[in-house]
Amino acid sequence: MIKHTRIPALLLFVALFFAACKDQDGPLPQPDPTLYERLGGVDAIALVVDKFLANVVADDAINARFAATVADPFRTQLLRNNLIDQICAGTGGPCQYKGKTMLEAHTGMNITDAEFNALVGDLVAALDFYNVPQQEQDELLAILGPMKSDIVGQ
Amino acid sequence: MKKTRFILSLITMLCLAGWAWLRKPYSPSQELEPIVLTAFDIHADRPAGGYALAEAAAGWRGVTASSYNPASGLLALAHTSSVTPRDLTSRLKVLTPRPVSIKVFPEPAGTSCPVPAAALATLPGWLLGAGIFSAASLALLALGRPGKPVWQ
Repeated sequence: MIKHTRIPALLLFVALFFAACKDQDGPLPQPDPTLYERLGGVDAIALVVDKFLANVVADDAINARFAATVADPFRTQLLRNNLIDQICAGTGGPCQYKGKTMLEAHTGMNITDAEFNALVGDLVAALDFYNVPQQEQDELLAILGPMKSDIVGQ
Repeated sequence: MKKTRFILSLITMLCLAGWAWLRKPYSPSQELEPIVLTAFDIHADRPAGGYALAEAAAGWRGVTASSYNPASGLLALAHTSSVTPRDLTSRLKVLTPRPVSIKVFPEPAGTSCPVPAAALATLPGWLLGAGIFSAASLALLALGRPGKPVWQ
């Protein structure tokens, strides 16, 4: 009886031994990191967003559009969190954008091409400030770019 | 008694349904310390002076970002509420002989919501509180035995 119970135990040991050897052949292929991970997660995105907002407030081509937001700390927080969530969610992070759609948020504002371009310029300046590589910048702008039609001229 | 229970049930359901509809799903951005944006007119005579002020301010405790725009002459700071705009003005004045003032943007034209956005944001919390309170009242009523009150 004892001999019979030893055989499966021996087989299990051999199986585990070979399984362990297989692991040593090399690590399992990891999935490519998402843009969110390459950007550095929510803390890094928050730093870029803060720099972007500071750029916008100092930019007199568009800062009048944000007068009410700057004057009200609650609205500042709402805009900041929405921007972080939008970038985080769009780049594959664990966030959910909870704000209005771009069309809802910008209807009636008559935002011009020049204002939109100034805003993008302020974002690129923030990304450059933190030395975000060109590939990540391009990927991020490709995610945000299609929103232009819902923002400009509405 | 039946009418009271019905009304309480209705209030509980409406409040909890309203809370479930208005509540926001969790996001890591909620964990971040809130910031305030303040713009300063620093009247720098040369752009280099403005950039130097922005660089110095970026290193201050509580300041999360700074930006100087030579075209507007504005220095904008993103900072936590641990530092006030007045503190920042004083610190900037130490660094430059030029006048420093907080930029006040003109009120945007058009109508605005008469209820402050901050008050609207507390609505889900109030609905949840009211829902729990009416549910507790309903439970107490259900536990209570029908009959004459003891003081009669």
